[in-house]
Amino acid sequence: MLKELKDFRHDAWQCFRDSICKQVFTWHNRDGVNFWQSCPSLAYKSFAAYSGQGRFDLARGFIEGEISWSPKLLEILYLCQLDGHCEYNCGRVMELRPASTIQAFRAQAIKDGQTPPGGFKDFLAGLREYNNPYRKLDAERIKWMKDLPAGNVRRKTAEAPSKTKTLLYVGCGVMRDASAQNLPRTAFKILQKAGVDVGILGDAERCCGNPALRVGDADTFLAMAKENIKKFNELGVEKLVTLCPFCYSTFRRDYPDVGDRMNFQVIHIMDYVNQLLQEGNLKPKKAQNLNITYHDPCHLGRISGYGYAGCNDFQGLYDAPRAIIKAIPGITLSEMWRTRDNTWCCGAGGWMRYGFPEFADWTADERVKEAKATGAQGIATYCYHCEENLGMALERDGGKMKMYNVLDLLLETL
Amino acid sequence: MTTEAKTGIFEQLSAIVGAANVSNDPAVLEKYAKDQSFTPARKPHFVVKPAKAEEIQAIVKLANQTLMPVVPFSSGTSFTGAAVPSVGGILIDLSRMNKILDVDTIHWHATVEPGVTFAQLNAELKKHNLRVQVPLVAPPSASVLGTYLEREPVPGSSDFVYGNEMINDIIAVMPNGESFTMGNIAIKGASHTHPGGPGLDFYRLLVCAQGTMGIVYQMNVRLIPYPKVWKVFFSPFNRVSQLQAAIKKIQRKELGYECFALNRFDLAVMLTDEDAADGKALKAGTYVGVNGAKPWSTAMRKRFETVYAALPPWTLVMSIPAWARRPEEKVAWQETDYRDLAAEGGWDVFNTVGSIPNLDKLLMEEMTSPWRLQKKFGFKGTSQQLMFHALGEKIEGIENTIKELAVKHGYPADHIGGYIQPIERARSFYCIFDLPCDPTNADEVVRGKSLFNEASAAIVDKGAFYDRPYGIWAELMYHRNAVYTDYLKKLKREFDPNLIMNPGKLCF
Amino acid sequence: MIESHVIQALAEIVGPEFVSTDREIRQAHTKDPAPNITLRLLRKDPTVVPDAVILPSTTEEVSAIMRVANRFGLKIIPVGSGDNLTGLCIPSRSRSVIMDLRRMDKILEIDEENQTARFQPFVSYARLQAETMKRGLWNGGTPAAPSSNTICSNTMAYGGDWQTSNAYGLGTRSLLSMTIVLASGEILRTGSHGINPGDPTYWYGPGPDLKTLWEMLSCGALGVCTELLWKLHTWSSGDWPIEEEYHHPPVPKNHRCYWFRFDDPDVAAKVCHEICMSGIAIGVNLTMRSVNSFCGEPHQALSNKLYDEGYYEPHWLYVMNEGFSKGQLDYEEKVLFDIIKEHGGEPLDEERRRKMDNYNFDCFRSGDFVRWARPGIYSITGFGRGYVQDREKVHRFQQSVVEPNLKEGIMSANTTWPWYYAYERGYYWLDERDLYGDQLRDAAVITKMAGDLGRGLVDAGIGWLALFEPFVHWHSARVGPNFGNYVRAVKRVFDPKDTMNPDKMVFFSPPEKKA
Repeated sequence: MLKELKDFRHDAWQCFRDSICKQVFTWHNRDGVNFWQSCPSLAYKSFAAYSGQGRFDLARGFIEGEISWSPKLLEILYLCQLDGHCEYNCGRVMELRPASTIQAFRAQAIKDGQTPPGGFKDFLAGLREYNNPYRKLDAERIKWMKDLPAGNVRRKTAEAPSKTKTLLYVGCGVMRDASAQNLPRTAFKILQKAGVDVGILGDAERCCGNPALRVGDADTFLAMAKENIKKFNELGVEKLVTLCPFCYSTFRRDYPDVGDRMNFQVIHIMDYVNQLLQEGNLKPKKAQNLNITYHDPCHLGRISGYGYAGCNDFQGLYDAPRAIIKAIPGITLSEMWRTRDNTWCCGAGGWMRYGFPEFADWTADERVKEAKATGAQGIATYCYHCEENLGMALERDGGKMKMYNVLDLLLETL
Repeated sequence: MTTEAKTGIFEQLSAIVGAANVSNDPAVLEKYAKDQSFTPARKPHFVVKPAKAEEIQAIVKLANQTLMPVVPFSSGTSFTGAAVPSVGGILIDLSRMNKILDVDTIHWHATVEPGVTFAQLNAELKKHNLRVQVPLVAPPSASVLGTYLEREPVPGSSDFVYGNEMINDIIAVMPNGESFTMGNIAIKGASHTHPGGPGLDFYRLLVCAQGTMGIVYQMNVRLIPYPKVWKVFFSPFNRVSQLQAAIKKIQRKELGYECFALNRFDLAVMLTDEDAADGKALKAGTYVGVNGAKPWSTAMRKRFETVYAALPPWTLVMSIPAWARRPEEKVAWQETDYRDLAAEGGWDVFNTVGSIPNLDKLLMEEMTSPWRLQKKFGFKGTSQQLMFHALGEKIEGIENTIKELAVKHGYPADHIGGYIQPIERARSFYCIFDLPCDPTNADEVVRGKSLFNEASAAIVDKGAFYDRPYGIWAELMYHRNAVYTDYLKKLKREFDPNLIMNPGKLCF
Repeated sequence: MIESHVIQALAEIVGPEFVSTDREIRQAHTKDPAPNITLRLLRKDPTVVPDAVILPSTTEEVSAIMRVANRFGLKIIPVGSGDNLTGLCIPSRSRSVIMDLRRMDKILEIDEENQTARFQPFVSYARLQAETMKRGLWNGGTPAAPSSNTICSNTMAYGGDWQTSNAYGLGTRSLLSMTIVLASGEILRTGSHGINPGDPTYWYGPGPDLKTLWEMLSCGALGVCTELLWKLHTWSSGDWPIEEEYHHPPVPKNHRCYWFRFDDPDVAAKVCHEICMSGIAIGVNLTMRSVNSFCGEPHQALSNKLYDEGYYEPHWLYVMNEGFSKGQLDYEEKVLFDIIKEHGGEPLDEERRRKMDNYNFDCFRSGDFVRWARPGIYSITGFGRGYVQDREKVHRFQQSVVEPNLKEGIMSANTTWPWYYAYERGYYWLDERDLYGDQLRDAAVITKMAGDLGRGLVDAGIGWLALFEPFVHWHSARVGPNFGNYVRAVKRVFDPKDTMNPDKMVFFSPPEKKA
């Protein structure tokens, strides 16, 4: 079952105040001047309360009755993208879980009838009403398919199951706006070129539950998760390929806590595509001649596994995207300093665009500074949320650097 | 002070140390009234020679009661004016306390009293193949405790650890008459390890304090062995800027141990055979008296000119000793690496300079038991030493300033001594530039003093730092750091409310 | 609570967004890992909560804050990373203000010619290394404390005990100069930096050296350090290597790391002594079995199991060599193996040696070391300074003090010999004994054990690092009363009103009556 705040009492007391939650993991620190911070909320607000350590102290204080609910407490809890950097560092070394503690603390807030702060109040209301984060109807889920030939991507329903045991899970992100539809369209085209069969749920797809979980509505998350697990099992899905890193992390990390048996494996589209590439099913031909930097989405890394990154319990998805990029002729990859397990959140983690948009913007602006410092012409990534948030930051910066989607770049070379 | 009062103090001092160890005889007092620096002469009122710590404590307590200042004195080889009384008082001559209390041959340290000299200690330690490091300019009769207390660098100061912090602990009589142990041994039964603690690290309040914060009567010092295999190399340089760059390269590869440079004048002084009559005094460390040294004979001067002419402007002395296991192999790889480095860096490595035979043996002796640089005092009779620290790239500018000023004051720039000692892997350097002076020539004394004062001030702006602020250097330093000075004074007032401990020194 | 007009005065200095009296903001400064703080929290001691938190960004702001503090009777606690084992950053009085230095986080200058760095107090070891190593320099070491800790506070708290102390000594040896804001608000600079700001020429004086009072153990009770100058050493490895394989990072280029095992601690000690006296190696540590097990395994459960099974043994020696040339590395290796051959000991088998890959890396820049805090509470009970060869004292201490303190459930010094670090070419050694237990269950027991062991160390004549006021009454029989008097004298000079971090270094003013 999902952990509750009281389950983290031990962690909260155990915090050693070693500051490893506050900067890039020390073994991986390659810059001591500009790009060493790891925690966006701490860097933004400066007070220690906004760090993993600070929130541990708040959790401890709350559990022990030293503090109680207040607007300030809620603000500190929700001004966090839950990007998991603190948990990677602390988890790796101390086996403590500050990000999970914050998550459970939010669930406690909702359980105690607290209203989430900032824009999260309306966000939660919308979520409960529409069962997705965008206040859209389920018909929006299939708009991306318009004018695409059916090909080898077939609807998979109980009534008309396609033969394939691989389900392509598009995610609610596609409903956000027209630009978001690009992700499944590109994936679709690449899979067609590779000649593989996948099924989709179309407008029968339902939210993975990530927004509910992040905002603290544990009950809604559980209900959504249970329903999805049941559905996937019943459909005989063996491989669940997700587009969205949020969905990816939720399926891999949070669904096992639900307790229901999952008969399927979860992989990300980039991992899947890389396999196809390495097996020779895709052949990049056209040179791109581009110098890009790759932004690691947090949810493809740190909090996408059940163990601790860096403990060989699992490793984040860092190599597959880079392998794809490097397979593209003419591409130069100029790495930033905070990469892989130490990536800096794009700012949109934890649905921050809806909660505290100025903070989401600031976080993205910091990432753009780092991207620019590499001398690259653009930032490439793969995520509905990173692309939107970083794209907006690049525009604020004058638009000289461009935003790229990794699979778009691949598609252009095939 | 009234005669009655003085008599009273005399009697009390006699009661403490015994009548034979107190003096107010003017002839005796005169001997302590000055040293080789330009410090104005001032006689103490009394000279006492205690034999143990309890006596020092009693004297200091008496000083507090009578408000009579005390001035600690260890070996009289100071050129700094630190032991010249500023306002009279009781001069405490610590030379009777001359026991080597302990030698630990396993952990390489020795405990000494203030009267123990380098010659005395090294003679004892030689039996165990150990030695205490001696500054190149310290005579054999210098007090080990007193010298180390004044932070005088040694040739091994180039190493980050071995040659830099040689004090393990100190015990002092504080201005209130209490005995205070600083360092690990403050805990009964604990070992001589580190001078820090107890609580805070107090010891550096007494180091370089010229006896203004307390009278140190016991010190434990670190030792090193004699080398089993030893090679010394020499490299000529025309300019300090090139020399310091080479030294930095060597030190950044952490090659060798002792490493320093002498200019033509200093090296020539070192190498010139002394007049036969002076040999004994030089080796005993009594060559330089309170009025300086007897000037060289004409013959010696001639010998000097010959040696001088053969030497390069600067000579780098690079010492590669090995005192532990596989010493031949150690010296071999270090020599190989050093020669490779020098070839890459563009400087020559020789076994001598100026065709001097056995130069390496001579420098080996100087690095273990120095005595030869005292001879410089005989060049004209005395010598004023500009002792300062500076960053490597600043030294050449400082040298030029000193030379220009020397010429301006009518001194030949060629007769300025120079010694450059890298410290802490050449992160910085300690320098001594010597200005010889004839003390019997009144006009020269005036000019010499004027040159010394002007040069002292001018080189501060060029990057010189006087961490040991003797005489006028105190003003030059303390005027530039008011807050530091203020707090030193506050501390002094706290520790020495009656201001009896060597008043008039530093900023007090 | 602090009056609103006083908070207003503080806000006018740093801006209202950088001072806060919010209870939630203050909560992040109510706990550090010390067991005595746990005990205070468990008994709901209200004085652990500061009244305000302030974040200055310049020396001038710190100075202005001190003037306000003096005027209005505030207690200022300067805090760096805040990681310490003796409760140094937690208040004990009302009107306490945490001065969190995290905005003063700049590396101001790296002078490659003169091998120095100049930086503000909130720069961590890892950050300074990241910047210096790429320039062929480094700061010389890292404590077993995480290198995410700030250099300034780590050095000023405990001196900076590094794994490479055989070559470089205590961290204080590298601390060149400081800018200190005093309790009065005056700004003091030491050494040549005091004559000419930023000048790294020399570290002491002029004359008597005041830096000595702050550089170790002053606990923020004498002033706030707002800038440091630091000595750098050659880093012969190029840039910092990459951890390609999780948990098995490479040894930095031009370094060699060796592990040996011993059955007899006295033989191990002899070997340690010989290695140092031979003038080789930058780091020589007789490691602690518990720490080996923590660092060697990614999960504590496995660490505990393998520790109990004896897979991780008591007497493992670790030697680090740095070479500027192959000639040096080969020579030092030969000497090392000569000593082993002569006295005893054997190289650790490859399987267990490989487990210690983390440890190797940690000794240069610690990342995983802080795992020793993983079991729970952690206390350094003893920090003696002595000789590794003082076998009689050590055996007597183990028998008469350690063994009687055996406590079930406390993974403690009774089952592990001390951690020895060589200092300054073996002239002395630090010995460290740690206790671990569950934070909540064992705080009281560990506090008592720490006291017993600490007192025992002093009584055994092994030495004790930190003789602060709370410990004075234990130690005065052995140490004598005058050091406490002199500590108070220094406090009187620099902080007569006891504005700075009261009750840590010295009990200067009477304790407050608790409401």
